[in-house]
Amino acid sequence: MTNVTAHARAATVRGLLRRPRTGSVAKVLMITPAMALFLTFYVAAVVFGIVLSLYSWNGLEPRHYVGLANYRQLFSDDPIFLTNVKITLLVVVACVATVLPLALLLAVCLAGRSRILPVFRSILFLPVIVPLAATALLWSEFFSPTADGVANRLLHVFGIGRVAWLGDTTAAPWALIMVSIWTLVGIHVVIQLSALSAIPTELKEAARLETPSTSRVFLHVILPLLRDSLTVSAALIVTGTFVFFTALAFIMTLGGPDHATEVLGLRAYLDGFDALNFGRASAVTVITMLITIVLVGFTLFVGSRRRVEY
Amino acid sequence: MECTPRGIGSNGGGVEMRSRITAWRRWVAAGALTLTVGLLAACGGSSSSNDSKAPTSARGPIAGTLTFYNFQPTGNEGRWWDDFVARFEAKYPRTHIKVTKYATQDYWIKTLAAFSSGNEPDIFIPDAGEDLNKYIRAGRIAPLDRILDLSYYNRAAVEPFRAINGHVNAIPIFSYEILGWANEDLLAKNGLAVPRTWDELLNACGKLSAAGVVPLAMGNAGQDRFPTEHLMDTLLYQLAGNRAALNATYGIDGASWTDDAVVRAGAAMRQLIDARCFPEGFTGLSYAQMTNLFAQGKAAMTFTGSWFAAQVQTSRVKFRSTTFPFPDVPGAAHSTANLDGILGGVTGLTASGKAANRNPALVAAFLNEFGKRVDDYANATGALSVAASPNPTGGTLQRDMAEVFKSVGELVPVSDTILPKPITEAYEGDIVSLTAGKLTPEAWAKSIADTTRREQANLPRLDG
Repeated sequence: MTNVTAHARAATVRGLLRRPRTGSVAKVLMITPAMALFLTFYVAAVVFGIVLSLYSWNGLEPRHYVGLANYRQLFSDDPIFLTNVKITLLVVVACVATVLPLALLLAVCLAGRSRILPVFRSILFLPVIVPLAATALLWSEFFSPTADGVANRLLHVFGIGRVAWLGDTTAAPWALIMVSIWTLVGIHVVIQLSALSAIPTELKEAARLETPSTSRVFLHVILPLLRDSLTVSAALIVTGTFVFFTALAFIMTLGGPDHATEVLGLRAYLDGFDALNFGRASAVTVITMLITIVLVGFTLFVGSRRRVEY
Repeated sequence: MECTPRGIGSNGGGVEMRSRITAWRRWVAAGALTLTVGLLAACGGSSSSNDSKAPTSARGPIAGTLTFYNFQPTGNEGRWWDDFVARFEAKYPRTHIKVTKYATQDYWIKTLAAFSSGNEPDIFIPDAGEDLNKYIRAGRIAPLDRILDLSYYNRAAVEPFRAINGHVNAIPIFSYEILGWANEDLLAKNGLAVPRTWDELLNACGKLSAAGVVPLAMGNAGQDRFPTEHLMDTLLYQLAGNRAALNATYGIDGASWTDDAVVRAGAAMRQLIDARCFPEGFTGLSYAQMTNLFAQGKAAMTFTGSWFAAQVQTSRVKFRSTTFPFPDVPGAAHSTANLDGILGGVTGLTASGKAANRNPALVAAFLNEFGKRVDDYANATGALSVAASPNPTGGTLQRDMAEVFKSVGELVPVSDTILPKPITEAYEGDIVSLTAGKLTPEAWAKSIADTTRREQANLPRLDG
């Protein structure tokens, strides 16, 4: 019996191998353009960045190999770098901790069938499509430090004094975090709405038969089924924050005041294109990449535990 | 009989399948490595030893194509350049000027990327100082004084483009000076005149802020940290002389960031803040918000560049305005009030070394043609003319500023045009901390000194 099985398997594989190769050639040709783009603009760029981090280069004169000197300088002789890392982690944690529950809450509120709900869904999605420069301009005026600034007027209503906002080292990061939350929440509401609509109605009805408590149904039936979409959202918030906050900080504060909003992405840009130190800039991007991998990996690990399927 | 495909590695066919997958991975890795090596080899620019060689003659047919990177694509400047290029091509029919326009904020990076990749423009617009020097150090710019007619220009405007070897590497196209601006009506309404001394300035600040008027509009938020930097540069010049920041960075003549004169400049800045000269929350005000305060008549004074004249004119401000040199801090060794020197800068026009050596006749014709119209450029754009004999046709403001430029003893370059970039970042950023009260004047000076020490290995050499 064993010999027959082994012979049958070998015959199957030989048959597969003898198949005309035109199908394989066509597949290879079809993926080649995408693969070429992927290799050029992603893989090669990452490898190039890692290699460049071992050099000293100002973009114009010949490169000099310096080994790990750029990394050593960042970790041992650059107090601002540690500030950059702290601010980056603060921003990511604050955005994930706020955007995720807020998006879920709003999705639950907007998951009905009322005719007015699509209007609110559209309003929530508007910040996603507003150009970044317009967002920055709008919020710069909102956070104007003068008495006329909208934020200061709101504080005045509650009897709180004026804040310099983008000019204050404590307030500036939180101002930009608020802008990030405002922009990011819309897309994640859409993701969660989609996930909510995919939950079979029978499950919800069966759960309601078991208990009249809506909160128990949500906590013990619906929320576990949303674990995958929440994990995806969390991972996207982590990576999206890195990109979006960098661009926002570049336009609104240029990392100031006093490096209070200088996240790692912006630090890499300033080291490269302002200080013309592309080696050190590459070292910062490599460290940023590693931090991102760790954070996303942790997010996916937490999200994959105790998956529920019905 | 089992048909499950287990043990795929246990027979010859399965081993061949796995080796095909492994082979694919090898190809992908090889492709990535090849691309990386190629990119590393390609990046870094290509320059020949002839790029920095000075062309000695501009004789020859004026024909060919020049690529021109222009950072003034819109407004009066954009229109003037379009007209200039059209007239040049009409005058020399065998020429073509291929203009690439960039927004100002993109210009420097695009130009750097072009030089880095070896595809630099033939003609481009650099600021005097580090902006041009980095290309000179890299051997990408050739001296041009043998093929240019420099008699068109004010000598003081040419000097910032003279390299340490005595050669001139660019022509000036416009200059700017940093001055005080006063709303004479608002000052008069509060019983004040334009301040000429430090005490008059502090007195004006006290009276105006008590009356609910912003004495001196200032801001250093976001990307616009230069207003307070300009003010600090002025105070540094008064107390420590011309190029004080550069001298302190390189230790020229024993200068250091922790010198007493530097600390006193920081203390003078704090004195202005403590006297409530600046608007509340000014550390959060952008340049646009700061100048709007003045243009809207909410601030009695401001401190900014001569380019502000164009905004004043287009805003049609409803008050009498004038410019004034910033008062001297007590104990000043150099006077801005008496025009020993004034803070400012020069922007120029130059050719890459490749273009200058490839087609010196065309390059010389293009740059000299600008020289013939340099005053016309200033009048059309409201800029400060760098012509040898300027004839300003603009309003009173432009004429006043031209008079100042003619009378000034020396042009004091703005620090962010002459300092190496890592130090500029620290200088501007630490000024923000000083003005926000996060650093004392002593701590501020020490912080920049510490950054200078850390960046010593990355500082470019001075012999550009």
